[in-house]
Amino acid sequence: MKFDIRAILRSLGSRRLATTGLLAWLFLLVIWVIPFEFYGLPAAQLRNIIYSEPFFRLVYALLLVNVLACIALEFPSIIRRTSQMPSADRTPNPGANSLVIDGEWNENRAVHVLEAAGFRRQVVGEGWVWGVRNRFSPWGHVALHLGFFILVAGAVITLDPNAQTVGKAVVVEGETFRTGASEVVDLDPADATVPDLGFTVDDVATRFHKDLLLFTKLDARITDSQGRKHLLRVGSPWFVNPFTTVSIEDYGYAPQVIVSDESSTTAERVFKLKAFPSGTPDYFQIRGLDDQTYNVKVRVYGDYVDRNGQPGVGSFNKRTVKFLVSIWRIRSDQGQTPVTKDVLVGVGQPLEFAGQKLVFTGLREYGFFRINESWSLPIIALGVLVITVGFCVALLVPRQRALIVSRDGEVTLSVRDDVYRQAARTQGKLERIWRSES
Amino acid sequence: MTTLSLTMHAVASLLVLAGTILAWSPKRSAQALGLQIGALAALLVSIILRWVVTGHPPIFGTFENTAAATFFILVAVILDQAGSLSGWLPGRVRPAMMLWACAFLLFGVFFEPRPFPLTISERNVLVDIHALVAWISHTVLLAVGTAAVLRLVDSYRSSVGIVADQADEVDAYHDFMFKGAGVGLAVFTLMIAVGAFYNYALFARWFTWEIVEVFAIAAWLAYSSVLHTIMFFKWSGRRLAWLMVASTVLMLGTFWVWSFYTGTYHHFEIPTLRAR
Repeated sequence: MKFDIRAILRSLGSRRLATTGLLAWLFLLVIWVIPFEFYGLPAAQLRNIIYSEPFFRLVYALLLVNVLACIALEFPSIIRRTSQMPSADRTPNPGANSLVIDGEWNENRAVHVLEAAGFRRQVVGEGWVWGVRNRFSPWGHVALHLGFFILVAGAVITLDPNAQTVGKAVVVEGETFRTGASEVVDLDPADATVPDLGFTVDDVATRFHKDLLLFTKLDARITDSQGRKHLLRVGSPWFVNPFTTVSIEDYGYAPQVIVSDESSTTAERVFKLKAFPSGTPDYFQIRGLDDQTYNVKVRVYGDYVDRNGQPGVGSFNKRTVKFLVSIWRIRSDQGQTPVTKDVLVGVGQPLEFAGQKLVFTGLREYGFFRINESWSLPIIALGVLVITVGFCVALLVPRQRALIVSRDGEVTLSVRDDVYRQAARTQGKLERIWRSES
Repeated sequence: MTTLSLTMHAVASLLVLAGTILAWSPKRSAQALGLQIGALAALLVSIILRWVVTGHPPIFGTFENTAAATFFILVAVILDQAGSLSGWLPGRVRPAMMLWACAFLLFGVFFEPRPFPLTISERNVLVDIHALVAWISHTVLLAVGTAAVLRLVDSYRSSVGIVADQADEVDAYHDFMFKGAGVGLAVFTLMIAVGAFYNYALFARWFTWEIVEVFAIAAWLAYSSVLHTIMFFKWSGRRLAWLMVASTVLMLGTFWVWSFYTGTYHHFEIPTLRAR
């Protein structure tokens, strides 16, 4: 059985198949995905339908084969068309939409008219002048479709869980994160290797609108291991390299604590608490100077106000910081004995317990930093660039061929182009130039 | 300043309504243009005042977005009569677009008009670019869809003998649908690209396939199909117009589904939790 490769390629690369594929994908989205979106199906399940359901995969395979076949078919003819010129011995055919223009035939005039309209690459024959402009424009169609192919390749990469690593680091102001030395949580995939990087958090700044829980600012200033400063905002990550980004996602409170008695003082410790929004209870453990272990339960009030004898906040900003503290001693049977109960203290204000003093020396903030490494980023960026260039070249500067020919005492003008219905406009322009040159 | 902004918004609404009524009469086109320019000026003042209060362009919530949509429609309509794009809207597309302007302003009335600042994930120049190209593509594609509807109406009217078939106008609608779909799709693609890039910056994921994004891809596929059918299969007439109308429905879903479906990042939550 003989296989006509060209016939197979023509079928696979046909525009009919392309349109069928596009409409099929559209149909699946409208009748399958959109109803489930309204139904409230979880995002992960929706993604699973779109990426993994056989019908969708069939459509993707169809479109992919179609694009590749189309490129394989069109590429040789595009190369040919780029350099294709009529022979000077044979008058080209004007085509069906030619226009008879006033005036006598004049070869120099015809050459100048075409040149003035940008048709600089010309062939001059006996009684005719042919010109072409934007002859490389068909390459734009190839680039446009190739760009989609690159884009899809980048998107497919993201389906491989090993092609992207996402991890989160909780880093306090003044603390340094270093891969391998610092903890990374929520690592996805769980056995992935965190990209090698390091940074110190100089400052985490937040702002809320009036008394609403409405973030209007969440910035983190960091210094990387080369000493360069970076400002991170939500949606404005630090691009460590083309594959790796670090961004700030969230923040929290990290009180600084010391314990002292008459003779000694512990080193200052910083505890990262889940104590935001203000008033949310959390706790941390300390080892007292009496060698006992204590649970310190705390609610942090970033902008403390007294609300009829009850602790409250005026806003979610950090202004007048106070802590509502209870201390519990942990017994050997792991039970807890209350030592102090709900004492309100400010920064620097000592809280006495069991012959010692607990002092909150300050309230720092920590940032939730997402470290993301993905091979898809530069590939998709390249795909977008190629599509944009291809589109601009193919559709904004289409290839056009113009012919001015003298035939039976009449001068005829015709234009052909690669983009549907653009020829008429150029034809009108050439006619106006012809008349102005009389 | 908020009260003044809302007052100017109301003035703009009245001028849009008056401009819409006059726009259907060719003899009153100069007066219609005057009202449209007045409406645009009033709306611009309203938007600027609100911008001063909120610190951001009109992209938060349905009330602001209907104002933005109307703004761009008015710009398109005015440019069609008196600007560099003069005559770009064929037939009766211009007065029909004024109907859309009325409809959007009326729609916005049913939503929260209070001004709010943007939250951190919305404060980014990429969001501003995303919104700007979104409204440009919305306006162009809306005009294209309107042309398709008018094409169908004219076709029906000529088939029942109400009016004679006007080939020139039919041709103009067809040309406009092709070019408009091409330009609109290009800008729509840019909107998706900027949105996808910002999505990656926010969530380390190019596409979350939430409802607005699904509608966007569906609309994109529809308009791509439209271009393919025109360029390669010479579709025209009612068949093309119906395909264009279906594409427009998907486009409108992209831009407005989040007004009533809240399970999407494009829905701007009015913050309610207060400090206590």
